[in-house]
Amino acid sequence: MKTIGWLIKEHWTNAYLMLRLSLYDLKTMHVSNRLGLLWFILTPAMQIGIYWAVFGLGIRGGAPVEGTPFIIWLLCGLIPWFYISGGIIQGTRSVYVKLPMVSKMKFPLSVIPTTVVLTQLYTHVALLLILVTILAFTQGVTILALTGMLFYTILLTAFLLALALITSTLATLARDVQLVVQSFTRMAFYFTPIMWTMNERTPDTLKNVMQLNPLSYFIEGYRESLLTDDLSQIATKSSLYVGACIVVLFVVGAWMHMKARTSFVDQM
Amino acid sequence: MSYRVKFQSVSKRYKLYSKTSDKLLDLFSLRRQGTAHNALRDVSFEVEEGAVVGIVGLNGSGKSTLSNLIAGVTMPTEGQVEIVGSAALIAISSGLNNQLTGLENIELKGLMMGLSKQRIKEITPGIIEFAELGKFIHQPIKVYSSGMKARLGFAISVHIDPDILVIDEALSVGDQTFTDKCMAKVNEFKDRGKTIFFISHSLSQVSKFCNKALWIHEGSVRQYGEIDEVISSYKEFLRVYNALSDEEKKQMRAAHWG
Repeated sequence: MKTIGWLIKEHWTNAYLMLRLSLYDLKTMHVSNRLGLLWFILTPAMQIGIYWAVFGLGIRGGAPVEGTPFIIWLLCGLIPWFYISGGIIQGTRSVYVKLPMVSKMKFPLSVIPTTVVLTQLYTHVALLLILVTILAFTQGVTILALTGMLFYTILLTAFLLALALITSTLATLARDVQLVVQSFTRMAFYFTPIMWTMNERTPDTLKNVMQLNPLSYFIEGYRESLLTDDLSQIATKSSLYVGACIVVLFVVGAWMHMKARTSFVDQM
Repeated sequence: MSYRVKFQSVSKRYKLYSKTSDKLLDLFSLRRQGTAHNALRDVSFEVEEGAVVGIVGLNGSGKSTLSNLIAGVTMPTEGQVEIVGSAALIAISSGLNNQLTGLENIELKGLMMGLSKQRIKEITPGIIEFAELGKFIHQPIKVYSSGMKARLGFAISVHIDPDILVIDEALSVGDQTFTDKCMAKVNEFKDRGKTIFFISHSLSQVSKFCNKALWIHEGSVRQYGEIDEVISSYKEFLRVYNALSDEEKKQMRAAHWG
């Protein structure tokens, strides 16, 4: 309990530091590219193009999904996924990549994973704004849809922060963890209903397993609220389950981070 | 007497692991994994305000560990380190981002060292002037020469204006002009009555600059006191030590590491 209070305090006192660091991070990533910040949109746009061509036009022959044009349906699942995969992979790398930079100063190490997830959040928000604009011209956007989107974005951010605390600690101790996390993330892409939907043809066992996959909750949540203004998932047991997951991840992460923190600098 | 830095039977152990998997195991298991290496053993001393302490000792005697502890970069395994005021280690290259400009780096490193937005604004002109970067201040520091980078790193570290300054071989990177300039700046600190720790292998530099000395040998304090006394006995030790054959030196070290 003391560890958690300490961690929260460290974040609170360093809020401005995190903000500046994450903005500089964003800048550093693409400062040497000619198109600069545009790449934050271009990279996902290219991926979306490929998935659209392969799954939308190739496999489905351009048919809509449950009445929604495929591209719109795709965007509502893929944009949250970009945030999930970016947050997990960059969050895991965060501490060991930044450690050499802060090794000779008294630096609040726990803000590093948070800063990196924050950087990913900026891209996510930019993409969401584009998505909402597209939706406004095609499907229409309601206050309800935006409320849902906001809710899931906040919850997903909490989830990614808690997870990054754990994976960044483990990856700093053993680099292999990075590879494990990367393969799991790649698998999770298929194991989460992003490119497929759960409907009456889905076997019950798979549906039940999906109940245990918190990522599935987020993707479904974004889609339901943006496409059908349906916020009913928030009032289900799934929310409780995902909330509990976040709390457990956070407690374990805080404990791990604090235990390993002195050795981070010592192992340099 | 009031002190600035007080070590009370401080020990620092590093863990050495034979496998990476042991590091992960150590996080979860109650049984301790890996073997311990004692970098510092039962170190106690007190440094009052305004003292300039030279830290001397052979390579691997624990000088860097000691400076990390003073600057709060790491924590002691046992004992207590008490610091009154703020302490900073002058680390020239750490905290600099090659992709960002000099100006951006000033803000970034300042923030990372715990300064407020307002304070950074105040010290920026001084840093630019000291670093003599001219028009390069708006260029990414990857285009800087190593001398320019060193000047910038040093300038940021000293302008942060800590109460306790730890200088760990930092001044040996540049040319003579750079070293002179840095020494002048550090002397200014000395005149203002700040506490300074100076780690260097150049005994003449240490004797000239410091008024106290701390001799660390194999992780323990061998002698602490007035500069002349400590330096002369350290010199005497070095004379004897260097006259030893390699075999005898090895034996002497084995007695410690074993």
